[in-house]
Amino acid sequence: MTTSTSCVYVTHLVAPKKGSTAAECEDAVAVLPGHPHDHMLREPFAAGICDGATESALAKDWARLLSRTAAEHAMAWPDVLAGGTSFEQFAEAVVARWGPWLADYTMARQADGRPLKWYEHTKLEEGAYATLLTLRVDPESGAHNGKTAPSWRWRAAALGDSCLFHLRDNQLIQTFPVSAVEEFGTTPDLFSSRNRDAVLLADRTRFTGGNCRPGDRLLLMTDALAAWLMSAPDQADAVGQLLEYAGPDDLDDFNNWLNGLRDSQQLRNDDVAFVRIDFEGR
Amino acid sequence: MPYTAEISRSNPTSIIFLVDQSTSMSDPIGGEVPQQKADVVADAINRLLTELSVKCAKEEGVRDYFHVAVIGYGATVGSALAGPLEGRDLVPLSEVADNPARIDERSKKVPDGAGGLVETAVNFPLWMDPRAHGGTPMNRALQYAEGLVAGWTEQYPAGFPPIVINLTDGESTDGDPTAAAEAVTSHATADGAALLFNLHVSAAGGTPTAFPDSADTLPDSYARTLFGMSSPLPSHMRSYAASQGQRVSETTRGFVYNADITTVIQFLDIGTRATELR
Repeated sequence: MTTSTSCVYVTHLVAPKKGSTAAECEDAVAVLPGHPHDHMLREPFAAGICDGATESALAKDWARLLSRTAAEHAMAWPDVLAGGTSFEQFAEAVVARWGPWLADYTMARQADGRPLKWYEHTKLEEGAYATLLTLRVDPESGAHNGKTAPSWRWRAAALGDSCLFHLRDNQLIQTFPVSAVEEFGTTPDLFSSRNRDAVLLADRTRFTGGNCRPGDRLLLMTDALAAWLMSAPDQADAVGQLLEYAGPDDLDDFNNWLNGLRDSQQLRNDDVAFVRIDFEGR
Repeated sequence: MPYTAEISRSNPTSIIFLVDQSTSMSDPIGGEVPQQKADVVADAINRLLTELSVKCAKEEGVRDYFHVAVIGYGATVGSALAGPLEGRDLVPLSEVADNPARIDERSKKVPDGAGGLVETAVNFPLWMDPRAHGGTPMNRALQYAEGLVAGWTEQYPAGFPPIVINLTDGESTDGDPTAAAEAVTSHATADGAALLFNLHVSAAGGTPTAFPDSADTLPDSYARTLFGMSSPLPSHMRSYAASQGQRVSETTRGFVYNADITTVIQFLDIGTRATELR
């Protein structure tokens, strides 16, 4: 009997901008099912990555809720990543979760003797904002029996400028949804916590997909790091650095590397969220 | 590239508002709804400080991306802030936000999230009241601002340069303000020269204008002088104005005539903007 040795490893890192604390970081990542980085994933999994907008209050909380809900929906209803009605239902569901969350937060602040101030009332009426990139990966049926080359199917949805990169032989073969560094700016499309126009949200979200084989990697990252990768004069070197420093369980090393890039003006000083997916097997 | 320095808590910038409080400010502004000029500029200052505070508000409080001064000029030149901040000039924004003189309630139409508008009661904080007394010592006011700008650029030599916003009817009583305006913008950080913008409230009529690129359509010499004193909008501010449907060119200046100046707060980049999908 032949046994499949194919599997996937998932690592994720979140680092605040220089000058901010980890608690102030407004980028968020959720990966489901939750496993340690050295767990050999053989089942379907999903990830959500969000970049909370600096100009909105509670952006980090919204980014966390949005990324987690997106990953949950992608696990439960894979068609979310095909767009249309399924995505609209997700959009309605996640916005519906924000109101109760905010009511609990407001009550907790009151109970804590720190009621909301005038500017928070005004700000929170505007809603919280974040980008969203969601991914689901499925092992191709019949391709992990040890008889044929293993492969995986991935599907992704993106609103805003958080990016996915598909690497094969450590070369970029696909970027999504941003294709050129000039497209990054301070006004990306954003998912608002009070946007009840699910049709518009689905309409502005972009969908794509592809296949991975052993040795491939998918990298998900928020805009500052994505812009650095896209604009690197030597992309092979940039990919090499990324894979060297964005290792599992080494947030300090990752932070130091990011700060070095910021100090040399290569990387914009912004929060960074990063997911690295390594596909392995024979 | 100039005017691209990060504005953050560790690299803040300053905004210095100059408010004309002379006797002529009790005259009505031109337009369909008669309003005293003094009311118009006090309302503008209170809305500018509100917008700025809300822009920088986070759950832990307002972040000190900016330090703010409100300098009145009329019978005297000095801080126009009322309430707990009375007499202060450059104040960290968090202190400004936490210390209005009082908070009124006003009604406002806000988006309902589904493409419509709904009327709601909103807090309207006030830091200054209208005042109209004495001459218009615009030169002295600009010199006062220059002192603050000089101190700031020395303290933050690499930061985004200070922005001076002058709200006036333009009728300076201590001479042509052009040279004093140039003295303000002669101070610079490594990121660029200090910026001077002007709001002209006038009874002369004519078309309300925001951020024009020429003085040709302006109604009088006061407006043309203030336009000439105003800094050209830096490139990123022009881009933002253009994205909002404004017609801009290389010569667009930070000048507003009888129109809303609070847009200027939206020109300031502190990170990813919170904007609805359109």
